[in-house]
Amino acid sequence: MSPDPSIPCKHTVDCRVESIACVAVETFLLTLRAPSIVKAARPGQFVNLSVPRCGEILWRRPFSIHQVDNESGTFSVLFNVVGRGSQALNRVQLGDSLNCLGPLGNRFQIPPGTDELIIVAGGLGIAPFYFLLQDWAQEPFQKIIFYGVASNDRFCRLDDFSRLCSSLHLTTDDGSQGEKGTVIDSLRRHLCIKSERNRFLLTCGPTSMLRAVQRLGAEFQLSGAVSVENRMACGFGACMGCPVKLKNPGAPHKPYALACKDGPVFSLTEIVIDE
Amino acid sequence: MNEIAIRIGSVEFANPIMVASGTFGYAEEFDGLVDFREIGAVVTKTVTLEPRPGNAPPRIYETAAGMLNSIGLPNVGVKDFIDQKMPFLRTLQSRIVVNVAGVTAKDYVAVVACLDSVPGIDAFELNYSCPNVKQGGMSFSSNAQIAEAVTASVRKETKKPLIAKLTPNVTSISDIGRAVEQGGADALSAINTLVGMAVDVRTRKPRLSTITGGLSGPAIKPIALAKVYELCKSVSIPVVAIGGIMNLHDALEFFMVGAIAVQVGTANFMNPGCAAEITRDLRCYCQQQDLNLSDLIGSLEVDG
Ligand SMILES: Cc1cc2nc3c(=O)[nH]c(=O)nc-3n(C[C@H](O)[C@H](O)[C@H](O)COP(=O)(O)OP(=O)(O)OC[C@H]3O[C@@H](n4cnc5c(N)ncnc54)[C@H](O)[C@@H]3O)c2cc1C
Ligand SMILES: Cc1cc2nc3c(=O)[nH]c(=O)nc-3n(C[C@H](O)[C@H](O)[C@H](O)COP(=O)(O)O)c2cc1C
Ligand code: FES
Repeated sequence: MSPDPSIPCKHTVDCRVESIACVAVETFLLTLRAPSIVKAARPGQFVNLSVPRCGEILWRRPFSIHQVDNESGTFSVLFNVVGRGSQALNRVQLGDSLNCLGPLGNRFQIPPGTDELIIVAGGLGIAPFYFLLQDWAQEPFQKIIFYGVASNDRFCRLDDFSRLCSSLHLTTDDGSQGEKGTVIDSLRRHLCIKSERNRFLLTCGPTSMLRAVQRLGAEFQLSGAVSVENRMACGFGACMGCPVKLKNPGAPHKPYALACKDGPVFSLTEIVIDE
Repeated sequence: MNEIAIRIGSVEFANPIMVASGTFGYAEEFDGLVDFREIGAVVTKTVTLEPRPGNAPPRIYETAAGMLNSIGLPNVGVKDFIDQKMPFLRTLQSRIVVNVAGVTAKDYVAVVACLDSVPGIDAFELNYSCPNVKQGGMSFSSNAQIAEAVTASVRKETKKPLIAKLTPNVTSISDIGRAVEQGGADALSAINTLVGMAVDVRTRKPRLSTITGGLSGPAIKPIALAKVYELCKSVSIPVVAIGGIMNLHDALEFFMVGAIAVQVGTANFMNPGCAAEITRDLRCYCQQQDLNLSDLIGSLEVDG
């Protein structure tokens, strides 16, 4: 598919912080004004954000585009505070300016004829799916979400997600809400129920979960796609620092794809997911 | 008009701000992110005779004001480089410097021989940090005799300017610099990355698949400055400075210690427009101070 010239491609732009809100434990929803990013963004893509005023921190930090609002020209990212970069991001104030590089990467695509979309998300792996469901709100197929976190204080925007899908299956490691256990158990049970529907699965989350989803996909001969989160220095194919191992490389000297440029979305059967 | 153009061998560069090998892909990745017209030269990702897959992940790790990489010179090989990468590079107004490497001395010669008649290539940079298989993996620029011999054999293949890129991971970088000057290099570029390492304390594993890797970014700038200063005093060919350059101020420091040009590396990842910004800032600075670039080069004032 050739790119539509009317859509701006990746670029850098200073964005105004419109809001920042705590939506769960150590989890923040950051909204930035950037009409040019909003216009170009597609579900599954990400942005690489400059972390403010941090001399020691070198790289930008990549975050999935979580939500867009065409009217106000804003987009949001949903992030967890896990280290220095996300800590600094968490301290931004309304009106601050953040430099954003994006939109980056490819996007989620659903094959025609799909009548049941299964979304499997672990932790902040839920982030890209809000935008996806927003974009596909009018699509007639079933949208089923399996969403797992460690404990219920980590669930994000459950009301919003339940509005956008046909059914929402929650799991927590400690049983504090929904089913006790992992999304995998809950997903397996769903897949065991025979269905005539054309199912397609999308997943994002911790590596161990992605690997388990990949195995289940193989077991149930399910097609789908996975969004990966490699460490990234540039985010646009310049450093070659984010290789993803391919199961069946096109040529022996090309065993890897780049997560940032060829991904972050890959076919479930296309890549080797390891540590 | 304040003059900022430079010359290496027979080739003139409109300005002295280049982008460093391996940090700018084959330029096409930066389409839309930078004004290519403001970049004096694009130095390509290292090209080798045969395609290379590169190292296993993890290949990168962020450190204090720097980063480690062990990318492993993945590239499409010289043939596909000519067919697939040169067409875009040729459309740019910047000078195109092709960075080449090999695992044997013969490889360097073969790659340059393949490229010499390809239209659009202005100069070659020889990446001597590549491990030499014949020397048990020691890099080509860790031995003065070998570095000189490789330079001399490549010299026979081309009349285009040859820039020899040196590793700082040696006892005396000026010994190597003098040797490649003898071998016929038109210029030196320095520094490539410094060997470095990081450990994940939780898993007790190294952060890179290759255990050690190359350190780059602002963290290495003081070392790069000292090496470039040393080289400028030791050789009579021009020196192109590389190492942690993020802005005009950094570039000026390198000009003052004697560099004729600079290359922006790691900074391209965070600020893809960095090199073009430095060029614009340099032009403003020279105008404001009413200077030519040549007034800055080697203008360091040392007391006593
Ligand atoms: C395409 C993509 C999309 C992403 N989307 C989101 C998102 O929507 N929300 C969100 O919270 N995070 C997302 N991430 C992960 C996010 O980029 C990292 O959490 C962030 O860079 C950590 O920065 P830090 O400085 O706070 O942590 P660091 O101090 O750099 O590291 C702290 C911890 O975070 C881990 N970490 C660092 N980088 C990554 C990474 N790239 N992926 C996973 N773990 C990492 C480290 O292993 C370490 O345990 C995404 C990553 C990618 C590549
Ligand atoms: C990710 C990465 C890849 C690199 N690849 C190459 C390469 O292919 N060939 C080469 O000669 N130097 C390579 N280098 C070294 C840079 O060109 C430069 O010499 C070094 O990074 C120091 O400059 P900096 O601190 O501005 O990055 C690479 C550096 C980085 C960070
Ligand atoms: S992050 Fe640089 S190539 Fe993917």
